[in-house]
Amino acid sequence: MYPDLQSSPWFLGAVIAFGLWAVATGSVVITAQRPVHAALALVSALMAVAGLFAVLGAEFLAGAQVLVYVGGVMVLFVFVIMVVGGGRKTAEVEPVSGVRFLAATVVVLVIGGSIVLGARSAQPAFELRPGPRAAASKDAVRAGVSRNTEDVGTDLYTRAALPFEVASLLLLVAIVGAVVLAKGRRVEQDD
Amino acid sequence: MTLEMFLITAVKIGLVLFIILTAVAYCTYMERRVLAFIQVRLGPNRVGPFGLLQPLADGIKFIFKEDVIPTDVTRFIYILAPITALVPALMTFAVIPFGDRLEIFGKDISLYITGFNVSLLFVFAMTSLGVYGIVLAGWSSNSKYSLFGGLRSSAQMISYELALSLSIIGVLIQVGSLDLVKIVEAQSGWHGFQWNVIAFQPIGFLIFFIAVLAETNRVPFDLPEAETELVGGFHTEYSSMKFAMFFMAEYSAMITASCMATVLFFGGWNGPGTQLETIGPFIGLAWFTLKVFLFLFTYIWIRGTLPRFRYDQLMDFGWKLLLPLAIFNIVFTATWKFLFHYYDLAPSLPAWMQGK
Repeated sequence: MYPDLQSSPWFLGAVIAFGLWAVATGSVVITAQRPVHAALALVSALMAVAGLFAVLGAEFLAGAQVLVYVGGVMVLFVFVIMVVGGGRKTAEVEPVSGVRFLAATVVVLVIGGSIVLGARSAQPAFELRPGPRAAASKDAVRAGVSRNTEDVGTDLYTRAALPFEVASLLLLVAIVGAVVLAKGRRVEQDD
Repeated sequence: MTLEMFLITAVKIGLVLFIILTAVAYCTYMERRVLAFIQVRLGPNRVGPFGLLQPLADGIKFIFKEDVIPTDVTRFIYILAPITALVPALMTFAVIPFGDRLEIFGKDISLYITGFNVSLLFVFAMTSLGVYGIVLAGWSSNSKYSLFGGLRSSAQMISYELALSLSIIGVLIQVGSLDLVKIVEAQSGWHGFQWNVIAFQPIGFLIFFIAVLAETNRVPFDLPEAETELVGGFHTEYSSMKFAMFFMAEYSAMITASCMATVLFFGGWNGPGTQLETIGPFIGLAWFTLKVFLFLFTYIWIRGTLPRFRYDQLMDFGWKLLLPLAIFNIVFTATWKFLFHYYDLAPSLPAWMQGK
């Protein structure tokens, strides 16, 4: 039921379309004058990323991205921005006029350059060792059945178990910190 | 994708949309009638025989009502909000399996628009996108009451989304697939009665049903809606068609929730009689419709019976009771499944419990 998407003529078009969508909304995020617009553009950009995941065969990640990131994390972001008055235009602060175009150019050259150089070199600088089920899932994808859910689950509990636990510990620290900050200092009451 | 496949899918989409939108309209009628009978009165019975044309009259009224847009709203987001509420609510119907495979004119047609291997995740992703409609509506209405009403409602929805997603993990552990079609097929044993609620997820079903009541903002979790009677709410500043879209979104979500409850816990289209030759799939479709109607009736029944939660009670209930219960269900199911396979208990089951 799933034709091998990567060999179909729609694949390139889909990747380009989702990529352009992500880049366009991403640039709205950094150039919007009102924080609410930036937050909503980020929501749209994350949906484009989910689309890219889906096109590249990682449909579980696409669904999880929408469910958790867009439907959970970004809802809270948008909440907070809306409550603290994000509809107002932010004041523009630019110490030297034109410095942000210089900064943008530098960043694009550095990141883009490293991507291009890395893609060209014979030995890729970062190569993840394929996991225990990589061969099986490549065959499965070629046979037209995607095993993304099973593979992500297996990896999370075998190869990536330690980073998984560390990430949840990090989130716990963040939650505790947020609660402490929100409660504030206890004020001494004199009755 | 051949032309034939395209046409079949287009017909299915048109049919499902038509049926669901009509169902949404008549769900309002059913609600008013059932609530009325619970409250010992009659409900709408003037417009057409037994009041059956009432939803049509309501629709015409909504179309002709004046569409008021307050001056100080953020127009783009104000108009986008009802769309953001309605579209995800309708998109969930693309993957719900309404029945078994049919043989019509020699073609093998499956009774769902599209099925892919993470369709369950897709449904929950779409319902979590529906929260944006409420958040955007509350904020763009440029009214403090709308903003805080909308925030409360969306806080309630995302809190119960957790318990909702965790409650179905028991089903996933049992079935081993996120594909809704496979989940329904896994419940076809025991002469059509191997429904997940009996085998073996009663707690999962209970948590799911309660969480989905909160997700769809229905009694006893409808404080964000009752606020509209008292103070304000996310849809106070909306009129006519946009207001109608919010309520269509709510009733669509209700129907989606009923469909999900039947598919995940009550066997979907399974039931006695679905193994028959040519009319089997139609009997399956009838079973599915019957179960969905039962759930819709239960929704309305609960509305006519229970008082509503206070907001802090609501949040306590979601975080301190439902969430730990759902986690306990997962642990219990996983342990049971592991032991079942480790000690190879399958052959020791009675014959009618093994396979079909």
